Amino acid sequence: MDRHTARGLTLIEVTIVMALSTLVVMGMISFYISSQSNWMAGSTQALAQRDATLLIETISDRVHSACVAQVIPSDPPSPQHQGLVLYDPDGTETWRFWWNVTDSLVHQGPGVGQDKGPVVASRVARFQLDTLTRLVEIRLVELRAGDGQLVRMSSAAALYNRESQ
Amino acid sequence: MLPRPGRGERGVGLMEVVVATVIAIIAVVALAYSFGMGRGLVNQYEVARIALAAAQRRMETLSAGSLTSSDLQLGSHPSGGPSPVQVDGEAVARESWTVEAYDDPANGTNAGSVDLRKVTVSVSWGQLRPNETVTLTRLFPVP
Repeated sequence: MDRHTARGLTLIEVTIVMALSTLVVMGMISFYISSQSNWMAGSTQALAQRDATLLIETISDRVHSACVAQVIPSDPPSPQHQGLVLYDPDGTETWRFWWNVTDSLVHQGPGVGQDKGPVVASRVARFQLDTLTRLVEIRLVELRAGDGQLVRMSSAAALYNRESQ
Repeated sequence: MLPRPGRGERGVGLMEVVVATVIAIIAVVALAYSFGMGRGLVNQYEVARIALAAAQRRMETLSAGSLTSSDLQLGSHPSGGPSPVQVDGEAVARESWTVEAYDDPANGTNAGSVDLRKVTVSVSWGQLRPNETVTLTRLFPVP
């Protein structure tokens, strides 16, 4: 190696290399951060979707074994939220679902003051129901994912135990 | 005079730097692609879940109705073709259902007799590819 090739790096060369390296590293960091936030958003949305399905399936299972269903207003009354009370053929209340204002979750239990806890862990922004003669219509279940995105779903469940009436 | 570099102190060659950079870029692009694919699947399953709930709603509505309802007559429904599935006023998919005669092979009657009705509810979304349709089937009694 002669003196010319072994002369080392000048300050300008080092500065340019450092500037380019900084650009590359900044690009990699911003890519990592955006990928991580994208991944988190997707994960929380998937969890909210799963919770919406689980909430509808839980309500449907209870409705299938009930005879009569009654939609009740939320406490405090809100046009965005309602509750559902299910009865057996004797007219005895068997189960109820309601939106709890303190934690924004849908709770369930066998009656008033018998809270068995929330059905799912996702916050519920809207919980709207309707009843027909032999059908409970879950008009809208709107869950808020961890990143604030909303997951909406609707379905219906028949009161199969009404056949015995 | 600078000292001669010893063995193993020759530094990094240009080709080595280029190869390492290409490998790093391929790794980063693959990572970005996998993130995008994952998010796309989450979005796809969101519609799939909505479609499944809509198919269940249609099936439950048919179950709760009268067995002599026009919705349970043999043929394709609704008569005007697939109808939109709406969630909170927004159309997200299309639904239709068919009612076919079904012979119960276990009841001992002649083959071809109408013992039951087979109802198949289909909810489709997107560009109607095979993986963008949810289908539910249930047997209904004949009134």
